Parts: sequence; structure tokens; C-alpha cells
Amino acid sequence: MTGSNRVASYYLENNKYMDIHIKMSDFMDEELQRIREMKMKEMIKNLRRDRMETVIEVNDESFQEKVIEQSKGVPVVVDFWAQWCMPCMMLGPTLDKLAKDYNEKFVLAKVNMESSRGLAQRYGIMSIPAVKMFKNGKVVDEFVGALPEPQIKDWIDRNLGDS
Amino acid sequence: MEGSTYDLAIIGSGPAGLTAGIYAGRYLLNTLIISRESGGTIMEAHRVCNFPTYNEIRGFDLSRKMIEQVGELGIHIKNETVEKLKENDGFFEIKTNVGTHRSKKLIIATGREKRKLGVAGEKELLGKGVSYCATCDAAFFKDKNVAVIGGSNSALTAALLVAEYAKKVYIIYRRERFFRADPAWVRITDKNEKIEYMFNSEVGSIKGGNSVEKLVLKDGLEVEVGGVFIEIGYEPNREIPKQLDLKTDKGYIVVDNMQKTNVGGVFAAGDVTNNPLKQVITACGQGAVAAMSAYEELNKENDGLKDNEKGIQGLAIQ
Repeated sequence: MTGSNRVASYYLENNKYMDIHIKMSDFMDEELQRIREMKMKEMIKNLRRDRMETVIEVNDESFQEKVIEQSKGVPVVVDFWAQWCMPCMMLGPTLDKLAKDYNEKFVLAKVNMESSRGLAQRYGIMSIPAVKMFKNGKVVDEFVGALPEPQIKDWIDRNLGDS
Repeated sequence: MEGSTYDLAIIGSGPAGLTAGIYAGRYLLNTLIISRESGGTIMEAHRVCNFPTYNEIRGFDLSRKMIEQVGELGIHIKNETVEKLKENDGFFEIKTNVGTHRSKKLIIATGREKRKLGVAGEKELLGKGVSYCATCDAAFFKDKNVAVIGGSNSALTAALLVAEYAKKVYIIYRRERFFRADPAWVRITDKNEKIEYMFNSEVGSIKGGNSVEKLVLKDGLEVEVGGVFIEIGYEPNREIPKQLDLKTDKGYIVVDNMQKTNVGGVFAAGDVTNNPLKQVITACGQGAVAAMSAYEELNKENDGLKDNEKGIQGLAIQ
């Protein structure tokens, strides 16, 4: 029984015919409000999901949470790059595209070497672009250089497959 | 994708391939550009200062503009890796990692890549101290001893850049002096106190565990370094010419001034050819000529068919 029927039968049973019209409209407002809230929640959920962000920027400070911790739930592909590195500029758009294509199967995290020197040292980066796949907080595979898209796809498939 | 026959397939999307694409587009040829990645080696050029209309432009941006222009003409660039090229019944079959394409004419514009040393440890230690891009990686070698292999302008400029960070830079070169570098650069490296020359020296192997630790030269001498930058020039792709039986000179495809190769229907343009100047502007020029040559041949063949009353196969002019 829908809510409005329920309320209608209540008023009918209690002989409050006169009130029905007014109370129904109150109820309708209430129901509309409830629907509005439900829609809102759904929208926020979708928004969050979109923002579960398949492409993120991380640095020395956010790396622990956004890469190490997050990789315990979903694989994180980290792209170590810099503005002065032309092969990095070539690789960037390819990785963006793949992150979108794979639709939340992994998160792409970009680390700018200019502002994240600590991470360069911690992960022994000596050549960029350097791309590392994190799972359960650990590096499981990596490659260096602006590889062509088909090769990167193979690399991703291989690594997502083992999970 | 499968089954369709293109008038023209262009392999490679550097300046030569893209210019060929622009011309082919304007000739209304049904054209396909296939390329491992879009852009070519010019994308990695820090600055291009000799291309008309720009005093200075990043190679990356110049390339993007060309790709946009090709896109405006409705020509698709497929990012696929060519595995096998062969001629079959008057058509060219291009097998890629994705599928097989067919075309009537072919332009090879696959350019060239940085040459590898080809020694033990080079591949294994890539990204762990072995680098082919000084502008990318110089900053990671702060206070380290580093070697630059080669003796051309690019080797000397790499050494100068690395010296801004490193403690010491050895330039290791197989000849007894810098024959191929501009004297202006040599004068600058001469004065740099961090740079030391090692002439008549060739690398035998690169050693290291987690990262590069030393080089062993062919004469047995060991050089302790934390990094090696390899700047020994470029090399064309040799696989495609071999598959099509194209005549080459030192690996570069031999072309005439119409960009024709020794195989009918196959043209070549840009750095992959035996042209005397490997620059964006010459690659563009060759790409344009190659497209025109292909167009003329298609036109002639089309007329020939009509004359013989074989019916009109038609150029893909829609």
C-alpha cells in the first residue's frame, strides 16, 4: 500500500472526511520532500562515485592515503612525471584515456617530480616517465618510458588479471 | 575496419606522415594513418627554432597542431603497432596488433629512434641509471658521478645539462676527438670543470644491482658511475624495409625525388629515408611530395582502368 493510500484510509476510517483534502496535501508535500531527499542522496552517491576519481594528483603528503591505502581496495597506477620531460607529456594523455576506458578498474595517480622529490627518492626514480602498479600497498610491476598504447594495455591487463 | 580498402595508408605520424596525411586529405583520398603513438620523435624536442612561422615552439606543441590539422580533414590516426606488411594481389596488407588493413598505396614515414649501445646491462638497468633522455632525467643524479656516451652535439649538450646536477661527468667517446660536434659546444664543455673526456673508449658492459654502479670499458678499465646517458645518435626502423624488400642505404630507405622506393606503390618520407637533412621542414616537404606521387599514380591507374573498360573503380572522392 502506498503512503497516500494509507493516509487516505486512516482518515476515512476515522470519519475525518473534511480534513482529508488538507491533510492529503500536507502528506503530498512530505512525500515530495522524501523523494527529493532520496534523489539528492542518489546524486551525491553518483557524484562521489565519479569522484572516486579514476585520475588523481598526489604528492609527498597525500601518497600514503591516496596510493598506499587506496591500493588495498583498488589497484593504483602511479605515473611519475615532470613538465620538463617531453616523453612524459606524450604518455600522460594515453594513460588518462586508458584510465577512462578501464572505468574504475584502476585509479591513475599522477606524481609531479618537481614538487614530490621525497617520493622520487623513496621509489628510486632515476628515469621518467616511470609508471608503477600498486596493489595492497606494494609495487607489483613497473615500466619506464612512453610506451605505445597497445603495450601499456597489455601491461595493465596482465597486472589486473592476477588480482 | 576489417575489409575496407584505403587508397592510401601512411605508416608513422611524425611531421612526414602527418603532412602526407594533410595533402592526401586535400586530394580527397581515402586515407589511413597508422602509428604506434601519435607525434613522432619531434615531440621530444625541447624547442624547435627553425620551423617557419615560429621563432620557437615546443616539439610537443608543433606536433599537436599538425595532428589537429589532420583531424580537421577527417583523417583518422589509428594507434596500432604494425606487425607485418606485404603486397598481395596489387594491394598492400597491413597487419597490426588490432587487425588487418588494406590499401592501394603505401607511404612509409616511420622515422628513427635513439640508438642503443647494445651492451650487457643496458636493458636490465633502464630506468635504474641508464637513460636516453638527459632533459628528463638529469635532475635525478644530484651529486653523483655520471657518464655520457657519445661525441655529437646531443652528447655534449646532455653532458652540460647533467653537469648542472652531477658531481662529475665523464664523456666517453670511441674516437680521439669530437669530430662531429660544433666547435662552439666543444669550447663550452672544455671549460666546464665537472666534465672529463675519455676518448678512444668504448663501453663493454654496464654493471649494477638495484642501480648502475660502474661501466666496464672494452679495454678493461672500470669507471664508477651512478648513471649513464646514452647519446649515440639515431637509427631507422629496419623491420619494415626488410618485409617489403625496400632498398636501403645504412638502414635508411633509398628514395628518388618523387619519394618513390624501388617497390612500386611504396613511397617513403622523412627521417626514415636517405635524405641529407633530418629536420621537421624536410620531413614535411617529403611527406607532401610522397602524397602527391601516390595521388598521381592512383589517378593514372584509375584512368587506365577506364580505358580498358574494366569499369570505374573510382578514387574515394565522395
